[in-house]
Amino acid sequence: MKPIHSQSPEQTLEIAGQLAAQYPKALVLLHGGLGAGKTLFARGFARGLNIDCHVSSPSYTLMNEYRSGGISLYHLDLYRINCFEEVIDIGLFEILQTGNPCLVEWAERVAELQKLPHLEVCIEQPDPESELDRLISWTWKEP
Amino acid sequence: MRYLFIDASENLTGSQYGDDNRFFWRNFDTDRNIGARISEICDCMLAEAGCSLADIDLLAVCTGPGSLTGLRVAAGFFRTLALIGGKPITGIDVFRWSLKTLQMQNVSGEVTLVLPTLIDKAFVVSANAGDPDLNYNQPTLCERDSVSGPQLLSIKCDLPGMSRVDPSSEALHSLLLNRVATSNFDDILGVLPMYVIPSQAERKLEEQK
Amino acid sequence: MITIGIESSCDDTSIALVENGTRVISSLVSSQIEIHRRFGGVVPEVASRKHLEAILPLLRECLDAADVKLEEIGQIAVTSGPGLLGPLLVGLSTAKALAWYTGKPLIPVNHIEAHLTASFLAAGRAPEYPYLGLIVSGGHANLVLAEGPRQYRVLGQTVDDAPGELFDKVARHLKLGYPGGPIVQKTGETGNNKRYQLPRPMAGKGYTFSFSGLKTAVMRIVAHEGDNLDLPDLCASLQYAVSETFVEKVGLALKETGARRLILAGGVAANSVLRDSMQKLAKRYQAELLLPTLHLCTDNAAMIAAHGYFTAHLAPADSMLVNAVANWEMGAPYNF
Repeated sequence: MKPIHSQSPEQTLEIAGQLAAQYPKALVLLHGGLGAGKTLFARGFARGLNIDCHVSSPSYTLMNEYRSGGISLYHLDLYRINCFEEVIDIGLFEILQTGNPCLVEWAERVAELQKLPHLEVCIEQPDPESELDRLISWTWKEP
Repeated sequence: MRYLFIDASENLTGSQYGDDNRFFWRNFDTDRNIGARISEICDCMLAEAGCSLADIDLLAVCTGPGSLTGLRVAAGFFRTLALIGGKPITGIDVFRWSLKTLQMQNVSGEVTLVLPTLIDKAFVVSANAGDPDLNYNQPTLCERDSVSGPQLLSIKCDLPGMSRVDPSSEALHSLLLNRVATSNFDDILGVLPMYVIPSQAERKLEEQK
Repeated sequence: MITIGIESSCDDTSIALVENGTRVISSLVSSQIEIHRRFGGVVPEVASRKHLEAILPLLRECLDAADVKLEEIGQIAVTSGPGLLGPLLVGLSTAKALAWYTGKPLIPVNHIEAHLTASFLAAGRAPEYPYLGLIVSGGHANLVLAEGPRQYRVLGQTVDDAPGELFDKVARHLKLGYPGGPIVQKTGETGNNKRYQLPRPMAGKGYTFSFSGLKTAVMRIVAHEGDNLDLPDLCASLQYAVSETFVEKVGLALKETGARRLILAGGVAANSVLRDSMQKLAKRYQAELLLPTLHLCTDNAAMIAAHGYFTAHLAPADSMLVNAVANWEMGAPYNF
């Protein structure tokens, strides 16, 4: 698909919210470099699911759970993950079995995740000089 | 001799109480909240058994493989009880339990036990169902589709081309009544969830050799 | 009254005994005990395995070292969040077993809140209110006005990275190692903190913090400078940018709230640049500054025991049903 050009954090939040409405139970693999705005995207996604919780970076907790009105949204950051067994350790696969939506930042740390049906989202900063501009694209993948 | 056993290897937690006269198994609907309910589960079981922790002679946990979250909560809780209460504790893994079940069902000969795990993988174990010591080889992790061997048996599920074995209460009861366990510190420390995938540390140690 | 504290929210397992919330009888962290004998030392793995293996030896050693018997323990305080779920559950299940067996109360403790109490503990004091608290750690940058036990008015938080995380990522990017904080501090000791101009994210925008802009700025400098990069200068400039951000916003808080007690807490409170600037700031406003000792800055169970002692009256009666919550916010209700 042609990437969507987001010119502001508010726009990114809007795009993420719309995607949440379209894919409310998906495993979402978020790709983007340091500072691309993956956590911001997660915030928008949560809003799109009407989850009224403070969304924070799971860099340290590895996994956050946002619970609101009967739904749970899981938000993971695999940046600190070194291998497959650590992902098993944090119970990611049990979570996926529950059918709840799951956002994963730095999913590329665990190649096996690509084998699962998922929404692949890419956030790029096309111009290093322009702080706000982002290009967001996504595809549904079912291997 | 009274025992209290807990199996937190799956989303549904199970527990068994047993003594010389009877035994019973109960399921508890714990969906990712066993951490919250572990003591409540023990309270329920003891209440139904009509006894207190002081009367329990053996603590036992299922050591997996399975959901590490659950396995750790159960092991963490029971190991601590064993230490502070001076109680013997033992671990029963799913493979040994399944083998005992097969034995009690009069299955004999070489068997291949298959326990599905994440995505498209499975743990595979080879053993002789007639072995009274219930020995089995080191479990291997492989693709579900490529498992082969004599008498294929899938544990707790149905897989194409395989018979099914569900670890039974009777087998568990028999295993625990005859179990020799101690409350020695090192023995308590040895009761741990089964990590079929070796830790990074273990791998590094292997590399150094 | 002796409180046992159990902490396993992140990398280290810790158990401590504290008397009346102010006197540390014993406090042990897993890196201090020899648990991985087979591997010849502590293996740096972010894994719940390590916590499960360490916790019973720690428990036994802590009780032995303090010469305290189980019966003498009055209550059990345990971190039930925030942190890593697997590790949290190890500590929680151990604490529950202790509480269940002894019949003594279980007090769920919020790890971030406990960091604030650690600074009082370092001075052998009970918390006094109100105070302005700045918690700076790997995962948090919170500026709060504490008005009573578990009562916090959160003035500012980070909208993206926390300083500890920033130091970790920068150190990783510069291939300096892990954890980043101490390495960045040491490298920057000989540096010129005015050499590189780094932004002050959220400057003039109230109490909100933001640090990921500093991350991208550092990366831009690294790319631009190439071989001319001066590491000590960069590290010094980075710490300067971070501490100036705090000076601005904490100063604003001191002015607007009128609070005259300032607490610095959390892992990054060990940073000497930050400590210095907070000391100067406190002096300027004639405020009392409480800093944690190095042992009490980083994750430890003594602060858990102390905070548990001072919040025990708030813990619900059925606290045995508490679950671990990875993202439990400061001052938020106990989760069941």
